[in-house]
Amino acid sequence: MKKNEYLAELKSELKRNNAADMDDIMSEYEQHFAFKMADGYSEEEIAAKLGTPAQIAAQFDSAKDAAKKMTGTNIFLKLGLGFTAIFEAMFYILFLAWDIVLAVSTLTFGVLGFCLVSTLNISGLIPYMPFLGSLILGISIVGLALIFGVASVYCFAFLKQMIRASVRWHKNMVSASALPPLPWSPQFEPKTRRRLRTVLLGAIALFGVCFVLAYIVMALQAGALGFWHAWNWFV
Amino acid sequence: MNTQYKKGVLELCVLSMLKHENRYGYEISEYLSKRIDIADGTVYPILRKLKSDGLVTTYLSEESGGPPRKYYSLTELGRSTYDADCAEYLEFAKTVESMLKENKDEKE
Repeated sequence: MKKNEYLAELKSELKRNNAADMDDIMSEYEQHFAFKMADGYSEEEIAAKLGTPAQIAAQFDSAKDAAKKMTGTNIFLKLGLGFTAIFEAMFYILFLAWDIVLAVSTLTFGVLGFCLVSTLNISGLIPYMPFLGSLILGISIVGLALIFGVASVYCFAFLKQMIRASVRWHKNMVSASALPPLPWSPQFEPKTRRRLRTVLLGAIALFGVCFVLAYIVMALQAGALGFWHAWNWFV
Repeated sequence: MNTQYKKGVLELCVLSMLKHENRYGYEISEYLSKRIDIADGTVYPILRKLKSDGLVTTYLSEESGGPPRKYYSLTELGRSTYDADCAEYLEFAKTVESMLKENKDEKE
């Protein structure tokens, strides 16, 4: 193949692949021919050593993709991603609020349980209750605190993982080199997951059993099913 | 050896060539194709990719007699990338070499 033939074919191949900066690429190959010819090679030899125009043009594909990503569609892509991010942020804030509710509930039930078990009655907030009933009810409330505790830990891990996954997703949408996507659900170590499950099941059992038991004990102590009336709790 | 496999290594070779001096495209192409069996034309797409990745920059320089040459030089990013990739590659090559030797000896 002659020089002009080769270059013309290369140009049409590049055009077909929609390569960026075609003139720049072409001038590089024109110079290559010029230098090689100055070194005494024939046009045919040079063309043969270069590789076929189709092969060469195909190797510029990635350059085209990268260039395309940096301009044009990118504005719309970024705008779209920005909008998505706003809604995502709103959702995450809501989710965080929910998690705070769970955490505060954990704390509240923990304190209440402790007060009942230790018969610590801060400024008379807890109504009259004989010790045994208060002890068992206190234990059941501690169980409830544990349930909420596990839930809040899980929700927090979920939120964290969702944010990480979405940040990764956003990054992958705009950058050429993509990292593997992250899973959306929290990834606990097997050991941690087993522990959380054990604590949760134990807490549910503790809460259920002790709550029923507390009711029975207090009903017996008051001699009435509605012991709260007998002890004038709501008067 | 298959060309796809060589391409990643060629990028590193180009960076290493530019570490101590700036060179123009044809010079790089000649240097590489004399040592490694590749088509001459493959070097330019690699240079372009390195440029779009921000590892090298180009400038034109007038030479006596002839068209201006497009010189390539390493950017700061290119320099740090080269240092990291070079160390990583040498380590990798050492492992591969010892693994290949080890298994070759076992068979014989």
